[in-house]
Amino acid sequence: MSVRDAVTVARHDFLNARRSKLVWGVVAIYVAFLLLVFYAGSLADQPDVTQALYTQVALTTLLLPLVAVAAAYLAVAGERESNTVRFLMSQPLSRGAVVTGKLLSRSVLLVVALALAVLAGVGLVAATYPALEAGQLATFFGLTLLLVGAYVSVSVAISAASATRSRAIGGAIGFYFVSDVLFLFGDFSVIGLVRYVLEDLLGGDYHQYFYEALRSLSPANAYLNSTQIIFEGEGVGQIPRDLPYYLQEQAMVAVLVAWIVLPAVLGVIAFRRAELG
Amino acid sequence: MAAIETDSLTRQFGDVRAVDGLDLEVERGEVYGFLGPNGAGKSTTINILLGFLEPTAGEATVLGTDVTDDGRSVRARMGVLPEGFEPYERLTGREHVSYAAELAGVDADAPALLDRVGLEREAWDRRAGGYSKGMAQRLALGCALVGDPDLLVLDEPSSGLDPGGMAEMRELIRTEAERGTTVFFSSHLLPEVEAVADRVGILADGELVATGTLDELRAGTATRAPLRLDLAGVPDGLVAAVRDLPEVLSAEVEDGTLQTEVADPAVKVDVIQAVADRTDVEDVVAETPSLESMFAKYTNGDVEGDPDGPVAAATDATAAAADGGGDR
Repeated sequence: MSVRDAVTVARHDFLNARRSKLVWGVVAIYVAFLLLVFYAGSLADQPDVTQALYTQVALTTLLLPLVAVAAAYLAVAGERESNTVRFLMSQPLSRGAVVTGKLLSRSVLLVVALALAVLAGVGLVAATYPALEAGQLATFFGLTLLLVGAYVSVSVAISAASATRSRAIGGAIGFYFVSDVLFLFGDFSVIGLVRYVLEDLLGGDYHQYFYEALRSLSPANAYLNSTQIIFEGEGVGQIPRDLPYYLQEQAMVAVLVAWIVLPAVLGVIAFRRAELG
Repeated sequence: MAAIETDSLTRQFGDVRAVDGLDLEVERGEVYGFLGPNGAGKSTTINILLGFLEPTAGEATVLGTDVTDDGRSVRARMGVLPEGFEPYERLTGREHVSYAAELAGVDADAPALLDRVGLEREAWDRRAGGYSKGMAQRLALGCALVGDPDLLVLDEPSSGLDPGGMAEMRELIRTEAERGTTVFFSSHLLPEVEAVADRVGILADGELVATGTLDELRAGTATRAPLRLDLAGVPDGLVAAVRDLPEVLSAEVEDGTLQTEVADPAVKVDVIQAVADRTDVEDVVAETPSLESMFAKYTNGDVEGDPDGPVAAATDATAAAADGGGDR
């Protein structure tokens, strides 16, 4: 695979995608919510960035993956659906360069969108909060980049493995729903189901950390847990002390990085095998 | 070294053999018309050449390189007008050409190329999503010409074009051929192939049923001249008697019509004589052997001769040409 080809694909895909009103519409929704949270926080008696970021993290965990899915699910499958893939693959480039280029362009698109959102947020905070807490905001931005990267990577990979638009959206939304919505809420979650099967049905007994580790395999939860780094010692939320290493922030970041790298590799393999008939 | 060569190329989809042991040879510098009805396997063959599909068996080489070994360098040496080309909606015409040029690793003069394929200047910097079908096909051809490839592969180049657009597309193909480019193009329309091809291969059910220059194919059809007689009645033994005549290849009766094929046009009169001795002949229709009737025969899959077959199919081909119908 040639890096130059991947960059060429990325540049043209970015050009095509950034001219899409749909993509910017979805991004605008996220920006609006993010600003709303900071604005609501600024109305408190003692506006506190850390407190507002805590709400921001919850909102971001639920909403931003959906933005990433919307901006990335058509990356490859859209080309197959609209037949532009025949033009693209008639050129002398490898399938790997196509998937890599798509991943690159959609990631850049969302990084730009997230940067705009955070910048707007910083502006609002600077104007309405007593202290900016730049370090916390920067950490939030950095960790959120990983979250975005994970969901873009999975969406592009699913897109690369899908022959049609409907399969791509079904797969990507399904992944979002299971890995995000169905992992976040205590008993009503995939982990709740696993616990029910292991303990209530099979009579097993497992440590709380075992379930926490399972839960942290989801990118949404890994992100949520990784943000402890922002809130540690700030008196916000209830974070258990003295966690084992596999539940520490570093492990969470590693999980997120794995969610960026592995799907991308699988996406390349899937598209290499695809029959473009 | 041939421009394109396939050896027992086969592609199976489930129970269907879309391409069945195809041996194709396209010489350098020629315009090769790959003719066949929709579903004959033309696109599957081209998809294998482009590396979109893997062959089930057999081999294909383009300019001496095996397409499954090194599809990238194969595609680097050919320009492709893909079947049912759709442009990127939000990229301009010029951006399409520069996209193709960058991937090919060449510098391309986009205005010169777009001019060469007759895309009007005001469309160059407009988003291609708003192009008409004819403009999109021109753009596709312009992109295919990037880097002056040795071989042009055009999959149904006139698909979706109106008659005027089809004529212009033929003219463009001819112009490229005169520059020494090998052109391999597929079509389900005989007039299109007749107009530009040096050599023709007719594909039916995944197999080549005839190949040769247009003259060779015409000469081949002359050895199967069709003759139709409308009869007042059909006495017993008539068909057998006609079949026994020398040089008669086939004879069949249906609804009071005798349909025969003779190997030598001169014996038509003997057939008419023999039939007139046994019954009243109401009408004699001696069809001129043509590529059209031959194409129709292969594409209908009936070599025995159905009275309406050749005529109906020829009309279909003409009608399809007139309304610009193509694969969708």
